[in-house]
Amino acid sequence: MWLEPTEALRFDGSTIVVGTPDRLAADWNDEKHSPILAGHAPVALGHPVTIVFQVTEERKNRPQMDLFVAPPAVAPRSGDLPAPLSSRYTFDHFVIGKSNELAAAAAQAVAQAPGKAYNPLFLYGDTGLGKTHLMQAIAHEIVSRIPATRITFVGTEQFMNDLVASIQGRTMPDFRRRYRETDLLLIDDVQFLKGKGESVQEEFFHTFNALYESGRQIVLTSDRPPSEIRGLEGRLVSRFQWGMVADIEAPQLEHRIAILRHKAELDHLEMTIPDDVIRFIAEHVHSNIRELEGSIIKVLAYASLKHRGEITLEVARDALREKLRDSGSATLAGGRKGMASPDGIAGLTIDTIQARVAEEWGVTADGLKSKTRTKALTAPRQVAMFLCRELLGAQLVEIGQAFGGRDHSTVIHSLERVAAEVSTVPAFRVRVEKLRSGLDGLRG
Amino acid sequence: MRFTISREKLQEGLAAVAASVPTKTTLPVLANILVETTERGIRFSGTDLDIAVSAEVTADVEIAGAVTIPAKKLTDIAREMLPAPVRIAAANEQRVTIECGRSKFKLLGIPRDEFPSFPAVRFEDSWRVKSAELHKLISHTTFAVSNEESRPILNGVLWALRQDYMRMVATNGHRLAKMQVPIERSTAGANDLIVPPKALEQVRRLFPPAEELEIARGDNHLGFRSPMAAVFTRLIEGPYPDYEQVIPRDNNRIAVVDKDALVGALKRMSIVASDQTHRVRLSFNAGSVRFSVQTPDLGEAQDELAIRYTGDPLEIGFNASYLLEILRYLPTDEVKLTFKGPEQAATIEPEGWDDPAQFLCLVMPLRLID
Repeated sequence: MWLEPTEALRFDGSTIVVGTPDRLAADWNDEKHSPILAGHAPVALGHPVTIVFQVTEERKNRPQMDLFVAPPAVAPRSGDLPAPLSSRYTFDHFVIGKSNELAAAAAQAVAQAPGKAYNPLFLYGDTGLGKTHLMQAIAHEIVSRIPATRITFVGTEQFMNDLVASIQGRTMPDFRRRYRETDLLLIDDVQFLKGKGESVQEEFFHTFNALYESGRQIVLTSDRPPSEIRGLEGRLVSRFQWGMVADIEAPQLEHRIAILRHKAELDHLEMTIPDDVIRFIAEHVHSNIRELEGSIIKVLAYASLKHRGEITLEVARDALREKLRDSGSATLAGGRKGMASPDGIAGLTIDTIQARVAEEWGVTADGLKSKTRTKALTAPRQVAMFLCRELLGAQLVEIGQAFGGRDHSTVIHSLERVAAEVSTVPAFRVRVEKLRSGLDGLRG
Repeated sequence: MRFTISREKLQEGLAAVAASVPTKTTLPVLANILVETTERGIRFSGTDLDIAVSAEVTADVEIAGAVTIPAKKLTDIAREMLPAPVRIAAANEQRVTIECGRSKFKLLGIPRDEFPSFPAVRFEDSWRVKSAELHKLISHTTFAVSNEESRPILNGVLWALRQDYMRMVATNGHRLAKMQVPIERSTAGANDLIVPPKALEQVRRLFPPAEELEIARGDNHLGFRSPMAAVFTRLIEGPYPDYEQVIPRDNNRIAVVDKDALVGALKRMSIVASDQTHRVRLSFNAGSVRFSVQTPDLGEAQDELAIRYTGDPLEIGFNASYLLEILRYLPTDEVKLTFKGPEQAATIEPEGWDDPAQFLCLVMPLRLID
């Protein structure tokens, strides 16, 4: 009865943080269940952990205050941000170079004077160049000064999903409150608005106006400038251009080196990556920053698996062999939102997805393929199916086969369940997104 | 089993226990009422396994026995019957016949062995409580319990017994109601019981205020009984939160308001307030309180009342329905509200209440948008 309403919030290797609805549940669980659960850790994980229960942030931030839920701390710690914000995406961690200085300066100005400097701020550039990073940095900066700021950060697809769900569920007032009673609206990838039904663009237009007129800051990102988003209504295009439109281009060599150094520093890797390796990576990976960072990780993984932790130019060459082969060609193919065919991807298969999801939920991959329908298994199984569909574009029948010979209608149901939960439960969305981006990194 | 009972007594007995019969159940016998003969007449019992209720009425018993009869059908029959004596008999403790005047029914019952036995609560160590005092506590506090599944403790009402007083506390985290009444020196030890509000509702319905009740605690159950009726309930496993800790002691902004005027203003504001949040803004100043609501896509409204107010001006938001609900249970014409700040608990109490009981309500603010 006391553990049922809790949810795992995060695990950093030695501490598991579990969310509860209020302080009494946190205290009670701490006293009664922490020692018992911690006692299982050496068996389950191979090393001891501490288990801490605390009130979930979402509860603390509800407008209706609660006698047994302390309001959010005045100076938020890095872990206390509104759900989908990543603590890494701050201005401190944004490496400024020629290709992004205009965008960075505009973002800084917006963070200093939200709703006043440039409204809306429209950032555009190719995928993986730091648009989302800058956008979240604005949110971090504002929250650190005014902790009570209400931030809404969503992707355009989620905005559309929410809209459709609230039209179907007749909960438009909730939808409007969610998007209009906010101090800072961050919307990623607005290019996906193109060609969407009139009602989506219409609602977006009204949301935009409501916020704009009350002086709330809006930040948008896209892969191209507003005028080039075909199928976008003229009135939206013109509004997007009201404030500041700033572009981010691919970084130059020196800039790439600086980014890699920063990444190494951030992860405390400075002792292990020699300069010539950094330079080697920077010279050969020039598409985008995500790939740049992914390459470091790949080199490190290679080094620790095959070369006993020694990082040399040889190791780097070995690790990035495939990248080198097609370097020069557009490495953006099959980028993060693209739908790639299953056979075009190295390292990312249904098996790997099952393994990762099982690991995340603390179950076995065999369990996902079994007939068992306990709650502990159905949730990860559905997520794994969802990710197979999203990341691999696998056929429904194929997915059903891979998960213990399930019917394709079962798969459809699973996909719908996950999609619905992703759009309604922020913590769940974060978890799925984390898995998705982790798995995305496995693409060749 | 065979007995004759007046239609009125039959209806009285059934009405007492009908509410304890679950409408949906996976265990068929729970949809039945247990009918047993006793020395004084007939005892009716119903239970949903969490709460069990029984009531005795007078009847002429010819042959002792017991059977369970479908509650809904028996109640419907008792309602439609002509006002004449009713003869009820059960053969093999299963086939039930009911006769009244020239009406005749045959129903299929379930043997009493299948009916769950009542929780083991031993009344040897019981204590006594005046029903009227219990009524008073129940009717002023149970409204505030939580029905949020994720907070099981708050789904119960705390009944705290001490040597010279007893109190009840209920809260859903957003608002809290606490009432305390002095009692004559109790023989029972101090006891903190967390009782499901449904059980308390049964207690209030079943026992008239004039009676004195006997109460006893089992391991995980609580029993209430009078000579003619009994209620048993499962207790919720504690501990109850430290509510004393959240009761503000240093609220320094104090308003005294005419209750009906306040209710009127809040009801007017509620019309235009958001259906979801019921958010209303109150601005307290020396001599007056201004109300305002603003709801996107709907409109806005303002109102103002003359009040007695001491302290610095204050802007604070509340869920209007929480305030209205509390005001409904306040017994006096004037009410006192105290505040500390826009994000701290407010208190609401009766003002000038000439009663030995103490009544205090808390309500947490709703954050204002800007």
